[in-house]
Amino acid sequence: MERTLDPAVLAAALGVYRPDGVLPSPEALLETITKLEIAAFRTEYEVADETVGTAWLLHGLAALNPEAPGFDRARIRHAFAVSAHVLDLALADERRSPADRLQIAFAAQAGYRRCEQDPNATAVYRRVAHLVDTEAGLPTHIGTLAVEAGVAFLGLDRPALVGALRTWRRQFAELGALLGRDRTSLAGTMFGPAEAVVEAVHHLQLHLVLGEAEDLRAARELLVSVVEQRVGQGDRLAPWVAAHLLELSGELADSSLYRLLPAGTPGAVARTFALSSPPVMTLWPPQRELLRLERGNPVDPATARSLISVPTSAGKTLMAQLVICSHLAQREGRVLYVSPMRSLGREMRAALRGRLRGLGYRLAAERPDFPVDRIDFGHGALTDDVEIVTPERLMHMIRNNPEATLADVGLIVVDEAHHLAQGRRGFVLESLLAFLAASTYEVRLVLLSAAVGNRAQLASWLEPDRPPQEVVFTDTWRGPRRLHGLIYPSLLKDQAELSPRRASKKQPSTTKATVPVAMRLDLRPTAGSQVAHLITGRLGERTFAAVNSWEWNARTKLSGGIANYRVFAAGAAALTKAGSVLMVVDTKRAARDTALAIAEHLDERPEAAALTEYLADTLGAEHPLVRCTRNGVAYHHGDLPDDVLQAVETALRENELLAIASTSTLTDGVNLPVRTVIIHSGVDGDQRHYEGQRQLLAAELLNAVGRAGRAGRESEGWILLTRPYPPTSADFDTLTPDTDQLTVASALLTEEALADLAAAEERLRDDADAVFALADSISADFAAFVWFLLEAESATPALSGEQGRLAPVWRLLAMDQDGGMAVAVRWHLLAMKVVEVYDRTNADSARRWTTTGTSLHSARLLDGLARDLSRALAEQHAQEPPADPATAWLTATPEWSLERTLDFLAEHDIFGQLLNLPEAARAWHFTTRERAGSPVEVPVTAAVRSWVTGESIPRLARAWMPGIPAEWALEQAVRCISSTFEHVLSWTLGALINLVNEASSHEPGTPLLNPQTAWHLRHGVDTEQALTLLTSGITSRRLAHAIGSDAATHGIHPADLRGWLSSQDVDGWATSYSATTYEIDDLLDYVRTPSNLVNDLVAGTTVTVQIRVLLPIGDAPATLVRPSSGSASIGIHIDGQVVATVPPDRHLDVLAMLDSGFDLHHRLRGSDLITSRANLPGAALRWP
Amino acid sequence: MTSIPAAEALLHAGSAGGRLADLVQQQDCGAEQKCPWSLVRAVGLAEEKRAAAAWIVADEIMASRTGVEHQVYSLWREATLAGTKLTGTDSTLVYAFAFNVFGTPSAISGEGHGLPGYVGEWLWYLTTRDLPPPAGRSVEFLSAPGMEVRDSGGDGLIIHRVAEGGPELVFRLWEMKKYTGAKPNLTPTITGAWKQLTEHGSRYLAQMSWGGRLLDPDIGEFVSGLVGHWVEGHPSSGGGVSVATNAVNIPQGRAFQLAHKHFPTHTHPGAMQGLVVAVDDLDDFAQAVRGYVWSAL
Repeated sequence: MERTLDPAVLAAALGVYRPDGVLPSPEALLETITKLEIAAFRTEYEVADETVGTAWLLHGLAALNPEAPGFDRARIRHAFAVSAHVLDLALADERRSPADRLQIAFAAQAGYRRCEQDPNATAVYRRVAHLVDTEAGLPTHIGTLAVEAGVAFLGLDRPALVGALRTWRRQFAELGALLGRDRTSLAGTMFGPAEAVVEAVHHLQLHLVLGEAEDLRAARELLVSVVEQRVGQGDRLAPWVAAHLLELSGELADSSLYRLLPAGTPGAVARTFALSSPPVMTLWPPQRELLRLERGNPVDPATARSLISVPTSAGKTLMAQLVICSHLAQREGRVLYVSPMRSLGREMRAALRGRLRGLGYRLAAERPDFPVDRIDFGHGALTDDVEIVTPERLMHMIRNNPEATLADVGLIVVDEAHHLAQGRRGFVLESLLAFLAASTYEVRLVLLSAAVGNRAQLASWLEPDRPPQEVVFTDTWRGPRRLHGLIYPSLLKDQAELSPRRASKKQPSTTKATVPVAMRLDLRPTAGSQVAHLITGRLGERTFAAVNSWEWNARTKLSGGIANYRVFAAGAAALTKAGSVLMVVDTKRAARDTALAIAEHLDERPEAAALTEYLADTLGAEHPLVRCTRNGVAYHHGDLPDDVLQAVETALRENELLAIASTSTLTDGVNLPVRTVIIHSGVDGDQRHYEGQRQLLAAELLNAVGRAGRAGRESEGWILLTRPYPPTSADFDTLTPDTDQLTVASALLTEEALADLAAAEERLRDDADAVFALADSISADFAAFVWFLLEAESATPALSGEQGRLAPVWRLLAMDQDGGMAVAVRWHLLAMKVVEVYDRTNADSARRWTTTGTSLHSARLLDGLARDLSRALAEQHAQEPPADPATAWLTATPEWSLERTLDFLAEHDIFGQLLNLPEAARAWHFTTRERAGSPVEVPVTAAVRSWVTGESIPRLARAWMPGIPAEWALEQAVRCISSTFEHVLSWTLGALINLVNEASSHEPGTPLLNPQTAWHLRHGVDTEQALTLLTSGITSRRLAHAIGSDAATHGIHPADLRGWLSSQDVDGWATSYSATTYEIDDLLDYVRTPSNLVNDLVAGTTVTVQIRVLLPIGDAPATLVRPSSGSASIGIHIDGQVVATVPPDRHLDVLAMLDSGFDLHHRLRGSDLITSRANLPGAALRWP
Repeated sequence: MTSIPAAEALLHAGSAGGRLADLVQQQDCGAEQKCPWSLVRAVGLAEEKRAAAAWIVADEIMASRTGVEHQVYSLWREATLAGTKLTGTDSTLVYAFAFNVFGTPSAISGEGHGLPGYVGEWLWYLTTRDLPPPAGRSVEFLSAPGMEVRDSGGDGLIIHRVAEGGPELVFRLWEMKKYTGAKPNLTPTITGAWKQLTEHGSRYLAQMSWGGRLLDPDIGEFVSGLVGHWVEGHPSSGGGVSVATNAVNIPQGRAFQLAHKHFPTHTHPGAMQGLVVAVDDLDDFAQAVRGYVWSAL
């Protein structure tokens, strides 16, 4: 916002002011734009013709030669920026005709591109995409076609652009064909200019996708022919569009990955980014700067350590993808992408899947943090090229097997690295990085964050031997504008009504004032602007025991009345008219209640029907989330299952949802298309928050704020902070934390950590063995980390090099940041206590206690329990009749079935015992009511059995809590499944079974517990086939269970599952398993036979795909028909008749080929589909 | 609408000289005003001359749209002159080139599609092109009417090279309006047009500044600076308002005398110019033009 609402910028753009001139003064224009911005909050979008005229003049001024007197490049940039801003606002004015809006959009896009606000050009495209006409015939819209082509091109939404170009080029070709003879173009006619622009756009997009110079040259020639007006008259818009595209073509080419990736990077890297989703045809300014770095370039495989610190909306996620793909293309070694937030991990997974597919690399399927067992380390696992993990999962894998986990890793990318500072989870990350720093593994490290104040310090920690500026890349660039506001429940005192009441001891007044409540909104478009006040109508009322208005406050407030969150929820609902709203709240309960309150103000939303149906199926129709989504609202927090969270995130991205209330689970790094963010949470350091609210850390605030106006989706974002009191101007500062507040400090140095350290020191003063008593605290985590280091060094001395086995402790960030070293020494002394105990501990025990990932306290308990169970197994085995020697070899590894393992665990009440560990504190608890309810006993063992059989959550809830209202029962069931089965119980059970089986393996003949039991528990399925699906990228438990049961019934071995599924057809999946569109996408990826048809076509090769013939045809030209609502398969047509389909295992690759934008020629020969690149008549046009 | 066939109209046009300019009279008015104006009249024409004028406009429109595609132009022209209907592919082709100006033959509505306004733009263009330029000036660039009718009126641009004195190149941005109302008072239309010139003309000028920058070298550079000159109120920049109207609405007294009040940003001599193109019953004339265009379809 501040970029153009700055008098200096406006003055520079407008030039010398002439009182009677055409252009307004900078002050007048500033006032106009400010008023427009504020009016938008009232959903008033009318922009006067005069203001739009000013914007057009600024647009035209920028056509001047920068060498002209009184003119320079800065003025051109400012003129473009201001005109784009105003025209962008005018786009919302629905009085304007479609033709006007298209022209306004293109002018805004061109302006945004020229003032380096590239993503706003894409955001503008999204607002007028519906005006880009691919349905009507050419004559109907030939007058605006050139603009439509320009708008679509600058939107850089490649799939949509390719689709539009395909239609238009076909239409031109058909018209040309009507003219017949040797006609090769429509140049010289009224169609000539638009045809040349369309053809130029086709070549430009091909250039950005394939990097071939010939396409750029062809595009430029065509554009010049239009601007020189050699290709036809009458089309007044085409030369204007062509002039801009000509001017931009060089910049666009320079912004493409072909020009920016380091020399030697295979072209396939740039190509895969252009062809996969979301398509990347050009990079944004900070991304370009990053790739141009001469020293410390993180895309250079020689760079060992990097910290990328750019604001949200600067394209950080794409930077991470570029680093990953470039690494794979240039250097040996797998890549681990570490994200503390699972939602961010899911987003990265969705993006990387397509990128890697185009490069022929594999992305590991999503795995839970726990358990870690042979699925991770056996059967050829860890061979995928990229794996997306949380710090917890990575650390757990390293604890179990550092060598197998890290030996082949070449690069680790840590996203949202400021999480280093966030409590015990932060310490996991810190210890991971310290371990890597001290180890001898040659792993490159790239950290990313939008919220690091002490970049130089972190850089020195990461790479002590290089100057920070060669480690850190930072840039202040940001795409969308931002507008800050404060909201507050305001009493409409002049509308109060007084009535008599009976005095009470607490409230002696005999008058009750009933006062309507509205929401006040204070807006400050720029730091220098006056604050504007807006107020809604009445949203509810409150009552006070007092006559005088000055006494209407918390002290006299009577119970009842509209709660604050309901006031803000009503405001949020109103703001959805301008775009989607994210409301960040401090608790899970607040997220739910807020979402429900927003939903009350909105109508049923048909676009969210599919999500609602899915959630009703998964969670039960009475679940409160389902009530919200019906009206296009959802909530998001850590107690909801992963597949539900993923569905909600996808729906928000697809614009199916209008509003969402979430805790900070959704705000760190996730790219969501949100127009408005409302922060209804305390903020660290802010004294004026609501009582009892959780305080958002400065980094969390920055990330939450960063969701507003996501680049490429919105050109403007609104950020509103709720206030408990009438706000003042100073409150706006709360939204912009300073560098000090963004210091990333070790979690070991916080006040809480030091208090915990002091308590640990006290316990350990006389008894080092008290390290086993440390539990559920950061000192326990620290002790477990030290224990792991000692064990790792013992097993593989080379791990810690020559610096001794506690070297990684000295590489902790805490040691770097503790200037006086007093605290560092104290932690080190604690480490020495751990050493003392470790050295006294039996080596085997020491090793086993490392692997659990729990505190040492719990590890020792689990180990004891494991030994007991192993003995019980041996005894049980001894009591069983001896096996027939003739067949004994068949059961040399007597591994129990899941069923028998569960029976055994139940018999020993293992689940109950695991829930007593400190790690499981309060994970499994139920009450009769949400507030002041009595405890309800739900036997965990029986619950585990029913969960594992694949029973649906609604049925589980009914069975576990009969008589409890369905909504509350469902909420509790979902929470407990998520926190217990999917987390702590599968984690500790996995660790336990590993320990049991290890102990049993020393006793020949003793059976082993089913090693996948914890995975079955984690996923809630009972067949190996379902488990195979869920550990191979299928996210829906319901689908996996349905397919798994079917496969098991048909006797399909898990290893044959892929082929079996592929032998069915895509439409069959939908009917047999009720697979949704999302689920079909997952299945298609699972069954895919890797190939790269697009690369083959680029290389000029003809590609052949074996297809499924429905109607035998010898040899004929064919047409491919994309999946539609009628059929999820790709149909192969001859003369309008479906004669074959593409089998599921080739579906994605054939689709990618169709979406490539190439002109393709298909031929069906027997059961082969033969495809080559061809030229439409229009592609080989001769131009005057 | 005329009942004279196209072939006959062509003959009359040829005998008159073949150009619209040969069928009109021009008169300069208001020389003493800050905004002088011209009156171009195609008034009192005999029916055959009126048909000839309509044919010339229709023929110019189709020639412009088909451009170098002589096949389509010939198809249309020959069928129109022969009084026959095109069918099949020939009809489809001609239809494609004629569609977006006048709608479809099956959906012709009397007043729809801004038809008189669009014909008015062509009257401005053809008379400006074919009548002699002001003394001491030559036309370097004249914008042809756009492909589509705009309800808000059209814009035009002319660039003159000046033989002596003042800037070598000057331009005038024209706002074109039509008035076919019952009251013989053009003033509200003219006043509105000056305002639109300031507000709507900005877009055209901006688009022209970009789109014309690669015209012939010296013109191209001048064109890229059009907006710069315009906002400075530079002597090379000027505005004009053209109104196409019925003969009965020809101003009887003064016109454009208050233009400077509605267009105050440009004050140098010659900054403003007015034009009134008057035709007997403009609506009917426009329908005659459309009739010739569609007669083959």
